[in-house]
Amino acid sequence: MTDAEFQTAFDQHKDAVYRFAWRMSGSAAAAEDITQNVFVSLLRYPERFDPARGTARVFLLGIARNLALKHWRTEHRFEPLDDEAMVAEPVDLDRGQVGDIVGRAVRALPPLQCEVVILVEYEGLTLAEAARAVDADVGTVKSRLHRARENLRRTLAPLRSRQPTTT
Amino acid sequence: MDDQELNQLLREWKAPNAPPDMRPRRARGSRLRWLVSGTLLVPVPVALAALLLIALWTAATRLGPMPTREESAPRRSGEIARYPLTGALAGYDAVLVELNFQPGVSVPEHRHPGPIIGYVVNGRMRTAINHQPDQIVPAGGTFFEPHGALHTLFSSAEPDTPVHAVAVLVVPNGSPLTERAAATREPQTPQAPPMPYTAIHHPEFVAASEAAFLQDDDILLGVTSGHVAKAYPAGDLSQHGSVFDELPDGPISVTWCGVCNTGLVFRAEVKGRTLHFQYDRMVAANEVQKDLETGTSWQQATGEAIDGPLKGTRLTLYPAVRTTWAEWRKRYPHTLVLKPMPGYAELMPSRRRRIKDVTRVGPEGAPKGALALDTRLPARETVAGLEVGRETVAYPFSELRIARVVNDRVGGLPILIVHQPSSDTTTAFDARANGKILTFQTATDDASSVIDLETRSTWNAYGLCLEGPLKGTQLKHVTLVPQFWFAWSQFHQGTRIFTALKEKS
Repeated sequence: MTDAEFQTAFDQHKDAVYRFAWRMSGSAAAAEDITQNVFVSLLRYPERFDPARGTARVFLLGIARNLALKHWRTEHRFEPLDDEAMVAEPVDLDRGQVGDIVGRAVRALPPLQCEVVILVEYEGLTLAEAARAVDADVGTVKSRLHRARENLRRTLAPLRSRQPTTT
Repeated sequence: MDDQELNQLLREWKAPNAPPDMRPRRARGSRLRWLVSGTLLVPVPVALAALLLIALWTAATRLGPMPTREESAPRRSGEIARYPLTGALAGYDAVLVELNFQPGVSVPEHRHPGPIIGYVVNGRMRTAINHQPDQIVPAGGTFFEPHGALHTLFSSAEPDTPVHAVAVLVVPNGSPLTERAAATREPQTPQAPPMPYTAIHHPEFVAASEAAFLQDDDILLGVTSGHVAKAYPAGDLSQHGSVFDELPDGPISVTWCGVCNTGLVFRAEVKGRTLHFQYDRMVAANEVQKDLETGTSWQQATGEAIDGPLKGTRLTLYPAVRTTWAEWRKRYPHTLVLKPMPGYAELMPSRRRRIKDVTRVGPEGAPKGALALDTRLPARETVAGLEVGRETVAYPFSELRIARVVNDRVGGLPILIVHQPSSDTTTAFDARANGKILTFQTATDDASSVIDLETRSTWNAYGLCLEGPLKGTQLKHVTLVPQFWFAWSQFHQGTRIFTALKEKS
């Protein structure tokens, strides 16, 4: 990979990677670290990217996802990283703007549900692309997304009455 | 909330783009810098696994030249090494296993009696627990399964390549590594019908040598009176609720509530009147038994009469110890054992397995009907409850396994608690002897003996002084009540919780 190619990849995808990492970690410092490490990884092992297996964006988000989960593990050392936990942690709905509350609710999801919500709902990946990024099959991603949306529906239900009606 | 509303809410959460001044980091010397200034944050099980693997590798390379391709061709899965652990993990073994699966071969559903951490050396492993969607672990990847998870899929993910992995398990001493899921449910009698849940009022007993229906790690309640020692297996008790028995010093009722995991022995006598109990109903997820003589209802966890003619009276606790068959038999080789009735004996294996499992690792959440007001501990963590005067304390088994000996003061009384982790046997005593308050510490890792700091006498875990100035002295027993936390806390509100950390500081 030439310097120019690397710089192009950085310019094109750094925002998506950063946004994903920020949403997953809830921390700008962690997001910056993750983003840097994603591109360091690309620089060191450019041969790992195979255009036949998906776009560069999906590939980079896949690395970001692994780093974000690693970060999650250091902060939740004793919680198993599985999606058995069907139910999300409760969220304080009385604090903050609607956007903050939604953010807390998404981050309170079990991490394997959280990442698919961010990839699909926020970064606009298709189910197949998200499956590639999280190294799972499409059916698994679909069911995680379904469970995540059910969880969010339940957690965010009290917000309905607070939402201004749009005409 | 429909999809459109949810999507609208989700859109409210905005994320910033990368800072505009962010430049790609290209420093490649960071690894060297890490050697000088970096840190390693390694969870204990991973460190244990790594040490075992290094030890194994070192031993293997010293033994001789590397095997040829023929010599190393397909190996079987199995145990490589097993080491008993000491200290806080006394009573457990660390076991290193090798896993080799040819393509197309899958393992039947199974569970393990402890947590597993593993590393895939070659190939790609397909694994799933609790019927969840499967996960693929590539070479170099690790996997972890919590204790008790049902392993529903385990095979090579590739159609033409085997998978090779190593794993470390932590299991009770001498325990097998795998339990077939079907066997866990109902080993010999898959269709055995449930038996009537009725109390035993005329128990029969057999000698220890005839108790072939018991296994070493089966949990039981043991009582002694004069020269008589009797064992009541939990797997049998939990099918009856209560057993009436006559001891040399009076009638007793041996009770077990399967929902609370509570085994208690009471004197079956109130105001000179002998009582026979029978299961009546559940209150707060705990059994209530009615006596046949007065029709009074008694809450099992507290022994309190909650309605009927004797309402407000409390049954007297009879000293009993909850322990394993191996531990009890070692102490009382001539013990008698409650003989299971036909039909009930067949159901004991599944009952005792369940009781043992939930005592080690409590299932999630409180059962239906429980008040579970106190969330300081998980609802079904097993605690040994102690009530002296007006003070109550809960000693979680998880903390006792670490502390093993506790010097405490409860209700103004100096208390010694000894926990033998290999059998989860917990005993408690008044810590005074010859008018002195004694302070104890473990003399052996398994806490089978303790030593007092004042006279340097050695005692066994049952409060008898074996050696030293106080030889022959027996400490006065105090009765502990082991049960799930939700049960203890709902009947003893505001109870203190013992933590091993505090004890050490």
